[in-house]
Amino acid sequence: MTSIKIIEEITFGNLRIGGVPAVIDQGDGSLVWEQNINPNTNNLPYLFPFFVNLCSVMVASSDVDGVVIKTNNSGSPDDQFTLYKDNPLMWDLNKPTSMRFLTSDVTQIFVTNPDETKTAHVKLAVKMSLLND
Amino acid sequence: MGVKVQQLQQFCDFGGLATVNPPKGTLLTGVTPTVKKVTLPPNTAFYALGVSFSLSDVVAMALYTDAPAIVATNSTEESQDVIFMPVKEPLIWHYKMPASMRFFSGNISNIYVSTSDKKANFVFAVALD
Repeated sequence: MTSIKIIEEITFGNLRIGGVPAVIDQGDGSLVWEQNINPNTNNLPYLFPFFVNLCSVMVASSDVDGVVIKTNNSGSPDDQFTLYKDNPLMWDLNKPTSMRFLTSDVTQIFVTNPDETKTAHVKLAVKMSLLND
Repeated sequence: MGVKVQQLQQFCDFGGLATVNPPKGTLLTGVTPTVKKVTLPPNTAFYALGVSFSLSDVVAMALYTDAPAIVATNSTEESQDVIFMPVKEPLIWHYKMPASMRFFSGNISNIYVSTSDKKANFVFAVALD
């Protein structure tokens, strides 16, 4: 079983909040998608199938500002979010379900890199339980 | 004179399959955050933090507890939001995250914190635009 380690920490002036590692053991399969997305790419499709209710961790990141990920349909997506450099989105099952950035089952993702010059290194990873568990 | 709000660490290791570990980044400068840092005894019921704000004004906010705690907003009887806090794992939202990831669903007139049979050190911080 793969353990997933998460650390989050923010400061408000001298006040530090967080910084303690959390280890997530629940779930037994990881699905990782990692691609370089060329500049001026619009709604490039990739298969990324998973059931959101079986998900115990989800993480998305990009090293270029403004990368958009849509799920299932590029025209009317079930979920859509924008990624900013150095600000990954992270959710794990200890947090409220309402904080998930993916809320519906996913079959396909559509990735847009609006930057005119920079190739974006984009990651999307989830940990989930297997269906036959 | 305000302070700086920084995202210090965001680290996730998918067991060697993928790692996310960006450098720390400054989110805001020159803001005056509202901070509530309290030690709550065991079996505290609905301790009122005494904060109010419009959700649309929030540019960064965080909740943290080192022991089990439940957060309720606006009313102790018909709360707008009820959050079972993760222990030693902060809930963070800032303006570079989707609005849907905000852990409050509307404007806040007060925040109430309850504890279990353990003492809890609880922190809430919010920076407004």
